[in-house]
Amino acid sequence: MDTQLLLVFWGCTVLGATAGLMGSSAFLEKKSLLTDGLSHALLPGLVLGYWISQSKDLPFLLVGAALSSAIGAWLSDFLQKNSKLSSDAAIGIVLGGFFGLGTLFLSALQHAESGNQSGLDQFLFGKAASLGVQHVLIISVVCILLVCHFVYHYREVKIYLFDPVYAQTAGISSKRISRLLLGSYILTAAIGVQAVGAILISSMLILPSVAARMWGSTFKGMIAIAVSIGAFGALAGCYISAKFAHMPTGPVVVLVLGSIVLISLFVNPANGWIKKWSLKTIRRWQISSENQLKAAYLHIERNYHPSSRSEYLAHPITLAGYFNRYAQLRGWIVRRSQSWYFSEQGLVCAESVVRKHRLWELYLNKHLQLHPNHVHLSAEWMEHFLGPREEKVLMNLLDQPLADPHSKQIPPL
Amino acid sequence: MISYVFILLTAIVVSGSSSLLGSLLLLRKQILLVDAISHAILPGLVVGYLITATKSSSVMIVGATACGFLATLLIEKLSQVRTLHADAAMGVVFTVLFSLGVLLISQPWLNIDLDQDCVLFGEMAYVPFHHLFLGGLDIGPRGLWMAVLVLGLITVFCYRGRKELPMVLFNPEYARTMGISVAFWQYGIAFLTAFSTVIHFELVGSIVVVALVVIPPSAAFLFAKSFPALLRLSLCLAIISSMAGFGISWLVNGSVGGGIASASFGVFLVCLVIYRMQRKKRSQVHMNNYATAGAQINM
Repeated sequence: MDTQLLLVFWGCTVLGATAGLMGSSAFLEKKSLLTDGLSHALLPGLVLGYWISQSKDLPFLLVGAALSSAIGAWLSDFLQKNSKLSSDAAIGIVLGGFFGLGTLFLSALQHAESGNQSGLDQFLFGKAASLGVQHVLIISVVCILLVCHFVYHYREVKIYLFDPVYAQTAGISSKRISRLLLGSYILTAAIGVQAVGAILISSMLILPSVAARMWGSTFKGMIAIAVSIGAFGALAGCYISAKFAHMPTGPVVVLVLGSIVLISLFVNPANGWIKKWSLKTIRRWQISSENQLKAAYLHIERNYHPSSRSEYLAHPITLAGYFNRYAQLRGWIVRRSQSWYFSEQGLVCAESVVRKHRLWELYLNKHLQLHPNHVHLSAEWMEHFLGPREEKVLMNLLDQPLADPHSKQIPPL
Repeated sequence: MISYVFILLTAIVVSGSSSLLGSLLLLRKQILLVDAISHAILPGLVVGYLITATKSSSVMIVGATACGFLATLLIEKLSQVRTLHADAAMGVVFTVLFSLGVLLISQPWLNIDLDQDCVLFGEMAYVPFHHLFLGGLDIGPRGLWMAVLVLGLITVFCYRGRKELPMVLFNPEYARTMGISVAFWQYGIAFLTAFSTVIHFELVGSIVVVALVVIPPSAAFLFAKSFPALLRLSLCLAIISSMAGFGISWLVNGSVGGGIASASFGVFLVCLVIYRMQRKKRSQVHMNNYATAGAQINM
């Protein structure tokens, strides 16, 4: 590892961490797309800074970029407040207009100097390997200042993010805090523009916060996760882009962060797609196998007219229909001499389903005065959703009934 | 000289159709969808290119349009995740797809004849070089014809829907009770957005597509009092800004797309100033009325 590479990695990691921090507050402010507009608005200032200073002196470029982005931010704010345009139209105007200006300046400069300024191209898609000592120093200093600033205002920012109106009543100027945050987004985008490029720097703000929101449920937790994801994504992206040829840094960083978001969508503990899907599937199996057990119970009841509970265990239920694997796995049915029989647990489960069904029918009939012909359909659903507690409550409410409205026997509890 | 005329004509046609489409999207409050689509179609373009190994093929157009549609569906799906809002969902989908496309383009072993600059800035200046031949007869540049095709589609759509579209855009519920198929018109708008973005993307590049769709309709929206007025005014502003933009880019020797975007931005700023002056004047008139009324009461 040579020092240049270490320097670049350090710069990218610090940048990613800061972008994660600022991105989470932009996300909670619902201004994720505004950061996209602002990062596009960096371009004209960058090119003008180059044109005025006639050199690639970094401070000039960055100050120019930050200034033009700040003008863009002011314009979008002005448009939202003083015209009937909606916020996304305002963002679109800033994004398209400023980037169009930047494009015009850039192409004019290219034609005027015939490829002399090849350095400016890398501001579009970024080239982390070209970061110099000076730039890494600027990144580190600005990032440390931004983080200190954020920590200093932490309480006010937190209150503002979650309830701007309450913040106003608590004596915190929402306007001031929102301006401070906006300034932080702009500065973060401006210092990252050489590493990641003007077009994709906004995704370093957006993507880590999106992933972090799925894992963390508190503000502090979300920030911590966003900072680590941002730092990791930027470091991994820079490493890949430095190690292999033809890998522009910006897209690689975005793809690393994007895959983290994708994985989070599937596996996050709160409502990841895998968890949701498996819960849903298990529930579906359970319902269908409860229906099968009920059908088997009714089959025995109708054909053998059993007088005691043990007779249910003695008669085969194979003729009642198809049984799925779930019932076998739970041990609800057992196989003896080529036929299926209820096991003890299976009978308990089937009785409970039938009991809930008939109790609900009786309840609808007694307490809602529904005609017995109209109660079956609702009971078909409710038998799967009533729990043991509701079962007992219904039993007591209906005075330990023996038969349902169709004068069928309710299995005793 | 004739090539300049072709470029100017293409610019006018492209900005005209963009402004009509933009007016529809603006009223639907989905104007940034065009930003998302214009970035997200890139992988579709690249895959279409890899299949046929020629540029400007119809497979590329189909692939990119499909990719744009896919992106809108993905955005819709992601917005339903409880922890995400539509804003962030959009930001995730289009940046990731765009990066995928850029990464594919920059692989030399895929031999893709598109470069990053052309993705961003388009190649309006090359419009006169690719001609279309009909039975051996040269009928003009291909890009111009594609742009005319898009303009024709959008014009027919707007004309055919001159009764339905305002209802669908302003009050979908009411439109539904009137027996209008809201889904048809909304999917029509989405399809036209994807298709025209793909065609224009080749000509002017991704960012300028956004500028042309967003800016002239927004400027017109400040003044327009009715739906047809919005369409007419934004069309006029778009044509003015495309001509001015062509002039600017010729003056500074820069890219045509960038010139048009800058000119439309300038036109927007002028409109904004006029709008503010009008409002100020109107509020002053109001104040005077109040003042005289107050004076009369005091007497």
